[in-house]
Amino acid sequence: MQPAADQKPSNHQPNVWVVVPAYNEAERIGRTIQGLSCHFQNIVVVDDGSSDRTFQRLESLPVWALRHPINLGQGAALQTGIDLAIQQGAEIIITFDADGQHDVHDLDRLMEPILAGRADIALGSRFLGKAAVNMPASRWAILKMGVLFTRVCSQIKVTDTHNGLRALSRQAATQIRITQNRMAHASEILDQIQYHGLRFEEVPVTIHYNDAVLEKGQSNSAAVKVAAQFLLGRMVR
Amino acid sequence: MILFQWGALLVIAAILLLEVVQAWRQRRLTWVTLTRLAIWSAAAVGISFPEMVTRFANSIGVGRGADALIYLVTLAFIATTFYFYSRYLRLQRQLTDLARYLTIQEAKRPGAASSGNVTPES
Repeated sequence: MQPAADQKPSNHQPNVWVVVPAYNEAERIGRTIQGLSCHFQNIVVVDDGSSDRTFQRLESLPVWALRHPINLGQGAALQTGIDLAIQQGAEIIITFDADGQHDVHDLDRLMEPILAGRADIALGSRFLGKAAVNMPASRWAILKMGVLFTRVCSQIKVTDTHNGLRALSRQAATQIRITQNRMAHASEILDQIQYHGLRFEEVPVTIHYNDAVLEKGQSNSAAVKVAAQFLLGRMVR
Repeated sequence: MILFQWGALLVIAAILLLEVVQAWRQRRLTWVTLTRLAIWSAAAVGISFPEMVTRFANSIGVGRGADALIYLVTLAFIATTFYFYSRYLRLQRQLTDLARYLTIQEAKRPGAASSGNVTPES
């Protein structure tokens, strides 16, 4: 699934890196990486100080294995992976969740706006036609409130604010700096897209919900905490 | 003077004495120490002569001395909260940067048995 060469001058194959933040994912990381490694050579998994055997599991997988000495949060893990990818010469960086909720078959379409030069960053959206499989109604309502919150606070018009599936050009990845270590990083990325005047495009993607994903993911009540963290982080820099 | 005033003044006198002794031992009087001495002295005056606090309150348009104190304490609380939250965030970011630096230094390449320093690709 390497990007089509005819969208760039000559036969240039962009150097694509996939960044996967992982916390206590020893059970599922193997399957996620198996799907990705069929299509991508450069995969960075950042173990965010897991208490299970996630990092040991990575040693047998064809990935760059990084481990935070302490648990810092998903935002911090993403930035660590992005820093390594930039250091290694990445031209396109994809962020992909470790729990198997994302679909590797969406990645070609996700990169297309960047390869075509239409956007600096492509954001996955579960509300643009493609179905979010088994999404509970309460999660739908919370995500829609997140969209409204982002529109008011960051003045950016998107349909899905907390989707972990994104593709960033090297330039965008260099400009955006995630300082929100925990879940408020998604709002912060959107805020910085607006602040830096980056061109973005939303791409329909499929999110696969199951009991394990919902149990591991953020609870609906955490939305208030995420909003407060984001606002305080903006007020106190 | 009532019992509370005596008790509070005794405590403040002890604190002032400690501050002075400490400054004397260090042979150094910083502006931080001077500010602390001024705040404790103002508190002692306010407790000894409550009518002075009321006069101060009246002069700034607040009815009672107690109300003026509540307003001042509220403002100080908000300012202190912001200050410490900002310090906390800065410390958290420094800790994150440090952890990130170590993490990238210890990155394991695909198929590598042991970690090594990671250098940028040319």
